Order: sequence, then C-alpha cells, then structure tokens
Amino acid sequence: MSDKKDELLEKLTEEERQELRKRLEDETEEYFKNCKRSEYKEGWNEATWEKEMSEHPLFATSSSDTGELPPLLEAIRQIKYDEEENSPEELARSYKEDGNHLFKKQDYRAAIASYSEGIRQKTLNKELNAQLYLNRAATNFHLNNFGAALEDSIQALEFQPDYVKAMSRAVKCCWSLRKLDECEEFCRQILARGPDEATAKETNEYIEKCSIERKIRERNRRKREKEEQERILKQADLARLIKRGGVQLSPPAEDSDVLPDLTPRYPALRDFPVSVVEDCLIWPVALIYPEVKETDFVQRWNEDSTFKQMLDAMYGDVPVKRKVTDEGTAIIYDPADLQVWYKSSKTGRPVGVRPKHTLRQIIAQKDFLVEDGVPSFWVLRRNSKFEKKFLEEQGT
Amino acid sequence: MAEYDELFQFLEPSSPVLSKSLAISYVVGLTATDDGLNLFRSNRSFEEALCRLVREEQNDSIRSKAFEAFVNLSSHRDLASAVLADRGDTVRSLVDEAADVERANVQRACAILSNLAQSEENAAKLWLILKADADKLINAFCSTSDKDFLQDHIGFLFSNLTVLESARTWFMDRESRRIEKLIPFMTLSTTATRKHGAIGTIRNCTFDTSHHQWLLDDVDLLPRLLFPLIGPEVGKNLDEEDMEQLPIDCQYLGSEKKMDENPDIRRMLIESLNQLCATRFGRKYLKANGVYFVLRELHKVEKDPSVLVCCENLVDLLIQDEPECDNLKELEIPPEIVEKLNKLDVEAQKED
Repeated sequence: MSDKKDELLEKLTEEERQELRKRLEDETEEYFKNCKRSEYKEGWNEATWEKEMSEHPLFATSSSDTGELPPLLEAIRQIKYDEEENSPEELARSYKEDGNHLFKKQDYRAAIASYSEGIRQKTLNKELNAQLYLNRAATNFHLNNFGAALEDSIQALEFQPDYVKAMSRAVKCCWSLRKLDECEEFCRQILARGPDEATAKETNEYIEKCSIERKIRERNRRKREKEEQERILKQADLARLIKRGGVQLSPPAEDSDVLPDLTPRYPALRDFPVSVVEDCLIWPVALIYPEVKETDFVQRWNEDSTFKQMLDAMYGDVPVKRKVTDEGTAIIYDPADLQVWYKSSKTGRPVGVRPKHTLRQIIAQKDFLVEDGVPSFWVLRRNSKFEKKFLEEQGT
Repeated sequence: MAEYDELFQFLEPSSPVLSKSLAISYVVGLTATDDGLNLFRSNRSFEEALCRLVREEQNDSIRSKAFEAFVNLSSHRDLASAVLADRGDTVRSLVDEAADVERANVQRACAILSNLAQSEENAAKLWLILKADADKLINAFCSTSDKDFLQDHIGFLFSNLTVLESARTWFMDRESRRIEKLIPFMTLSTTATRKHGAIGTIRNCTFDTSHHQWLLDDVDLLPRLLFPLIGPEVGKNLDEEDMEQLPIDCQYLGSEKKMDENPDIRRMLIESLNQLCATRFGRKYLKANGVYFVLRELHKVEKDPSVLVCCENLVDLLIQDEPECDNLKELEIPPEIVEKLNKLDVEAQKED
C-alpha cells in the first residue's frame, strides 16, 4: 500500500469512514440492481477444462487444425518470423526447429514446408543449409518420395561435402530407387571417410544388397535370353512341322519361314495354340454342330489320332441329347452315327471325313485350310434330313 | 674332387668377371647332372658360393646364371632341405626378387620358392622363413601386368605351402581374407599355371573342416567352384525348378558357356566340393544348392577317368541319406576297408 493512501485514511475521522463505507455499499448495491441477471457461461468447467486449456494459446500443445492461428499465437509467430526482426540465419534456424518439431509429431508435409521455408532464407551458413536439406530429405524419405529425398541429400552434400549422414541418406534413397551404381558410389564415399562402426556395418550391408541385386538382375537377363531362344527354337520347329505336313494356313505365312499368328480366336482355345510334342503337331480343333448351333472344342488333338479315336474319347459309347426341337423331339447324337465334314477351300463344298482318317491326313489335303490356327469340322447326324438340307445349301 | 674346389674358387666375389662367368656356366651344367649334384651334396661350400652370387653378384649375366643353377638345385628335396636349413637369408632375399615383376630374375626366384616347398617337411621350413613377407607375394600374384606370367609359379608355391595347416589358417584369416584374392583367378581367363596354382591353394583350404561354414556362407565359395564345371548341357537339361536351386551366379548360363577345358582343374574343383561334404553343414549346403545337378550333367559328358571317379564319389555323398556322423573326417575307418576302397578306385580308373 502506498504512503499516500495511508495518509488519506489516517486523515478520515471515524464518522467519515463509516459514511464512506455506506456510500460504497449503496453504490455497489445500485450497480448490481441495474445489471441483468444471466448465468455465467464462459468459465471452464470440470468437464471441458482440459479441452479449453489445450486450445488456449498459452497452454496449447498443438496448433489448430484449421490453419488459422489464435491471435496470441499469431502475434508470437510474427515476432519469431518477422523478417525485419530476424536475420536470415535466425529465421532459417527457427524454421528448422519448427520442422524438427513437426517431424516428431509425424506431420511430415508441414515439416517439409518448414524446411523449405528455411532453405528459402538462403542463409550463408553452409552447415545450416546442409541440415535443412538433409532434414527435408529424411522427411521426404518417410513419405516414400525417394527421388526428392535423394536430390535433397545431394544438395546437402553440395553445402557440406563431408557430411556422412547425408551420404547415408543418399545410400538409402538410391537403394530404394534401385540405383545400384550410385548407391555403391555413395557407400564407397562413406567408407573412404572411415565412419563409425555402426555406419560402416550398415554401409557394407548396402554394398552386399547391391551386389546380390546385380546378380539377380544378371540372372534374370540370362533367363529371359534363354526363354527367348527357346521360343525362337519352338517357333522354328513348329514352322518346320507345319511345312512338312503340307498344312495350308489362313491367313497365310508372309514368308515361308515365319508363321502367321496362330493364336485361336475362340476363347475356349485361346490358351491352346498348335504346339509340338515329340515331333508331332498338337492342334486345337473346333467341331461345329450346325443343326443345334453348338460347337465342341478339343484343346489338344494329336495329329496322329484318328477321328474315331477322338469321337470315342469325347462320347464314350453314350449318345448325347443335344437339343429338343420345337415339335418336342430330342435330337440325339450317337457317336456311331455321326458324319464329320470339312469345307473344301477350292469348291466351298463339304468333304466327308472317314473315321479311320487321322487329323494329319485330313489337314494335309490340298483343299483343307486351317483358319486362325484352328482346324474346324462340321459334325452331322448321318442320313438325317438336316444333313441332306445342309449339304444342298453349302457351296451352291 | 679337388679340381672342383678350384672351380669354386673362381666364384669368389673377388674373382675376375671373365673367369667367374666361365665358372658359373660350368656350374649350371653341373646342377643338371646327378654327378654334379653329388658335388653339392659332398661339399656344402659350393652351395654357399652359389648363394652368395645369388645375393650379391653385381654382374647381371653371372647372377642370372647363379639363379639358374639354384633352380636346378632346389628341385631336389634333400638339397632343398639343406638350403632351407642353413641359407635362410638367401631364401628370404628371394621373396623380394619374386615379388617384383621388374627384377631380372623374378621368374627364377618364383620357381626356386615353389621348388623349395615341394615336400611337406620343406614347406614347413620355408613357411617359417617367408611367412612375415608372404603378403608381398600375394599382392604380386594378384596384380596384373603384361609380364605377370613371370610370377605364375607363386601359385604353385601357395599350393605347396597350404598343405600346412598354419599356412591355410593364414590364407583364411578372418581379417585379411587372403583366400578371396585368389578367387578371381578361378574363372578369369589367365594362364593355365596361374589358375592351377590358385585353385590348388583353394582346394587345400577346403581340407579344414572348421572353415567350411565361413568359406560357404561368408566367402561365397560355392558358385566359384561350380561355375567352371558348368557346360551347355546344364542349361539344356535342367528344368526351371532344378535350375533355380543353383547359386544365382550359376543359373541360366546359356549354351555358350563351356566347362573349363583342363581336366586337372575340373578334378581339383570336384575334390574341393568333396572336401566340403565332410561336414554336415557343407553337405546340406551343397545339397540345397543343386550341386548334384551340375555333377550329373558333367558326368554325362566327362571323358577324363580321374575326374569321373572324383565326380562319382561326390554324387554318392550328395544322394545318400544323411549319415549319423557330423564330420566324416572323424569317422574311423578300419585300414582293411581303406585298402579295399583304394583298390576299387584304381580299378574303376582302369576300366574307364
């Protein structure tokens, strides 16, 4: 209490003092009477105090998510980052600390922004620049931006050529990008500087990884080469057998040694193009039933098998009911009673195939054409009405 | 004999160049005959005079001739043993001569050292003398120049020395990893002599079972041993599953890849694999890495009987069930069975 007040109080008589007190009480009474009654709402209550506290700029442990800073924080921020108040080096240092803080909180994108801001200050402190770049490299690395991380590591080394940590980071980036030459080069640079035991161990592990990766790549190259050679040999073998068998292809081979594409167009046969097994051709074959508008696909038909063998294999001894006509009678295909035909490429007319014929014998016919890699045949019920009609219609 | 004493007087340092030159030419002739060598056996001062010329002679031509005589001398076990016992300084001086490709007598020095190590007993004496300087020889052996064939015999020296356990230990020292320096010569197109020496040394190192795990796991020796044994039939006859059991370096080598054409080399490589099968670790490792497939294909085309026997022995080890004994070398085999087995091997060789 100041001396003046004491003097004043001492000068008052007891009566005056009483009067003053009464007046003050009355005035206070008067004031509260004129106030509107309302409940106090703004205080922190037990339920929310923690939240309030965390949002108050003085006590906040994290910045607000909205991007807008509370005025107090904004003010502090302005002091900290004011370009007039701070030198570029101080600013860069602040941004670095900021970035490190954000990095720890795993807010990597914000951390990158901070480091970038620090870099933008273009401070003359080389060590600080190197740190900013390296920290940004580490952050980019965490985000799997290995290319950007590598560039930042290299930048860090521009500022500080003997920065082993930056080399280590570059090694990790190069490895992640599988840039083996660069990776090994950085490893050599590290080892040439006589690093501590842990770094040396890690670096040697990366050298080993690169060496294994190289071996694997080399092996894969040799494997591909071998597969390509085998493919060429297979193609040549196929071309030889097709030529030997007098097979005529449509579309025709452009040059006598190069085969046209023989991939079947039927989805069911697509994975079974003609192939060679023990000097025999294995064909994909389509058996078309025009009467019921169905097709059977044979994926692998050895050219030395006869039509009888193939039909027996497909039907066994059991006749197959394929369809019921509009009149209600079933159309039954009895393997003993089937006639196979192919279309003559010369006349367009069907040519009958006998059961004892092999596929090879038929395909070798001068008027047999293998279209799109699949020999195809008509299968009809022998002596049926439909057969008669069909034969009349075809090729006339 | 007395006339020869006179001859050797001409070899004294103070003797005139002309007479010294004539005398040493004659001595070279002596070292090529049994009678001449007997002179050295009966009078050690001859050897001493020769050693002095090797160490100190200023005249290049005379000194070279002294080296030549020494090469002949050192190829006889008893004389080599005498030199090793009493002429340590001279022998030590040979290391510098052998390690420097620019020296006039580098090739002869290498030959002398390799000769001196020919018996195990002599190798042990030589090793004591040169161990301290042996790194010079490794470096000389591994450096390349257009004249490095002059030092090819260092490989034989190593091969001879590694019959000694202490020399093997030195080659497989975990810090210096000297054996790794020889590995490139297993596949490099180099002279046959150099390759022979390198592979012989490595083969000897595989005799130490205590190093098997290190040689396979750390040095990664297996692909190096297999690679020269792989010919085009491996690529032709192995399907993908079998092929990919092989070490990566040995997979899909293609039809151009030929086997090493020297049967001695092939035999030594298979012997090394055989040695590695002495430990359970080694056997498992070899089995897991498709060694059997390489040997199976080799056997189909191999013509050399000694390689075939070696190959069959190895295949037997690879296809049999795991024996009870961890280290096959610790297995005691009754002598009569050893004799029988040896007989069978000899007969098998004869049949082929």
